[in-house]
Amino acid sequence: MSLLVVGVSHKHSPVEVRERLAFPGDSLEKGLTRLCSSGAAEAVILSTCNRVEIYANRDGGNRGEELLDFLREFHGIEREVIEPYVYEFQGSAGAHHLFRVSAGLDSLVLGETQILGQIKEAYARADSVGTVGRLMHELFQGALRTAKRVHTETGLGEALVSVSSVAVDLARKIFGRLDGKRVMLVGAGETAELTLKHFLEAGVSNVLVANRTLENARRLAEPCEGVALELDAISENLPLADIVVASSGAPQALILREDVERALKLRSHSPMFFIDIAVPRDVQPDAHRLDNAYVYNIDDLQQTAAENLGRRQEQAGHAERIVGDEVERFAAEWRSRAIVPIIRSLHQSFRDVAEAEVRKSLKRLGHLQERDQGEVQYLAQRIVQRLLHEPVRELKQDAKEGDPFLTSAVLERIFRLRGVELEGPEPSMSEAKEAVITKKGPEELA
Amino acid sequence: MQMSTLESLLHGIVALLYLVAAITSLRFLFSSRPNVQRVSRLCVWSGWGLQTGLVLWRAFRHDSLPIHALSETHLLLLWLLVTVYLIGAQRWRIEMAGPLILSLVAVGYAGSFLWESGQAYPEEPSGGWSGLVLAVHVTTALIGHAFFILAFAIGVLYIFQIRQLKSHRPSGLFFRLPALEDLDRLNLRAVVVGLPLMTFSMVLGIYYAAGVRGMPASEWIWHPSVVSSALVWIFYAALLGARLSARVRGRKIAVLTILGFIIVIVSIAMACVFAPGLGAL
Repeated sequence: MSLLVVGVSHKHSPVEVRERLAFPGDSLEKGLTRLCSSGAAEAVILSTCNRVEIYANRDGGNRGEELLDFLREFHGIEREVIEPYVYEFQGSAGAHHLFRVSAGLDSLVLGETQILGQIKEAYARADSVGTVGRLMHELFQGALRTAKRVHTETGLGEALVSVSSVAVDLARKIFGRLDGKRVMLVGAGETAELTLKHFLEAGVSNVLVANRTLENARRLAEPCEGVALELDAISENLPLADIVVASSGAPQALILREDVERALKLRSHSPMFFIDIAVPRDVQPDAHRLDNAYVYNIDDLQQTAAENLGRRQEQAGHAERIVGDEVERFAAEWRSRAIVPIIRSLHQSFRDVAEAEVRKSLKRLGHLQERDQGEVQYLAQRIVQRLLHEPVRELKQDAKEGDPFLTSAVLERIFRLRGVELEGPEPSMSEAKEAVITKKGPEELA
Repeated sequence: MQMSTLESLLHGIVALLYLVAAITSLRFLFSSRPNVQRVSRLCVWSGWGLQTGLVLWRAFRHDSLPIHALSETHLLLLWLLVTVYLIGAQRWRIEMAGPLILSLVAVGYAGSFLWESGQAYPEEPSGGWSGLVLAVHVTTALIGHAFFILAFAIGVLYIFQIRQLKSHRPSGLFFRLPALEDLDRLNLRAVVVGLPLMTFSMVLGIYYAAGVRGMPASEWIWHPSVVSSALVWIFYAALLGARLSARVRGRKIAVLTILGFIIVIVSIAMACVFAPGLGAL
């Protein structure tokens, strides 16, 4: 039994290849079922717009080739189309890859957290068709644990990196909760629409849309039960707005410092946030000097987004160390689990000896009452437990740090244990590194 | 009322725990490592627990609150400040104010070691009705001051956030601190709680001086502690009035609470220097 990962991602493959390999709708469940009926003991398929990856527990043969063939046959694609882009990881290297993916370290936007939800969904769908066993369970639990650690210990996903999300984040840092806040859009272009979408998702429910063409203003305002205004009405309605998203493209400023000053007075100096993404600017920059007024133009937002990305990159090193720790932990735990059958067999062998000897003795001690006989049997079992306690503990530790096959071979020979099959431990870290080298790396793909 | 060697040693440990808590909470602000936060919380709760034990032990031993020496009231104020901070951190999520509050507490503790005056105030009752009135008067005043200090810490965070926003280059720390409106609300709450306590304490103080002690008004009305307390009260009452009438808010209120903290410290110092006694606070 061994972990195998085969897939393509945004890093090395064009969207034309990824879309052909994707598993839309219930084809994912069909794929999982077919994978498991063709030799995989367990399987999970992660299919997103940026990656398609198969995580399988599959033994023997040229396993990577078999999974590649599965992908090719399932989607009806020629081998040469996908082969240059496919990567493969085995053993701990596969775990390392998944843990990096879950932490957002392999994402298009470094540190993004959307992938975590997609991994959870992939696991849940595989679980629902019964293709998740112990290895996949442990592996994906480890991935979720790693992601949680990375995000709490490094804050990797904290600082947002797109202009719209930075604008929403800044608004949150001014107003706290955005529920019940009112947004005024000045201009009804695409950027304004996108920013409005972000604000609506963040909880804003009151919308005013001011535009030169009232018809366009209505088009944006009506779906969110907002109010459409003409440009002349901006000044009059300004005190009602907590957040102003300006993108009209008018040749001169539409919102003057005096308008903001008057609005603030009427609002009892409650803060106002102006997101001016128009060029030329719609809001007079001087307004930023007023108390409780905050004016951010497109450059300010882009600069903040860039700095946030820089902060994420600074945290990436720390996140990689956490991933390394968690892979070590996962591999060690998996190795220690591999030794479980031999421990079980050892216990059984000792118990059998003890029971046989107790039976012999009880024949000679026929005068003992039933309760005393039970006590003798219990005593023998306790001695077995006590004798094995320390060696078993050492054995588990040894398996975590070293090679469980070697340890089990010695135990089998010493105690004459027969017919014990280990549950296929992960390769050691050194073996895992070799496995990584065999994958098609970025250089080769380039 | 001098502290025993053991008490001094335990207070030293409390001071050290608060200092470590201040340093680690500051470190957590910049690193966001949960382990650092755990150490900080452990230190502050351990320090607070130990200090609570010391306060109770002192109270049981002398059968009254530890308010009968300058050093005692000083340490009680620090204990109440940490208590108010811990309650605030649980209820209002103001843990980010920890570095400032805990630093103040650690500095306050250091001050109490440097300037320890274990001498008991003369002729002050500790039992009966008059003792109870005095204890409630002093304690409510101390709690009121603790809330004003909390408002100061929140005000500092507010100013920091505003400066970050106005600079157009908010740092990572900006995104981890509470929102401006939340800070403004918390600032208001701290003053709203602190001012009635201060008012109650002052009324009780007048009753104690005139009713219980039977002092003529001319003897206490210009007493430095009464004057300084009245100044503090007038300042915060004006601040609250301005805030509630919505004429002033945001940055100006934050600046005023910082100024209020300076007035509180000066008033305490003045009362201690010119009129050391129970009315000092």
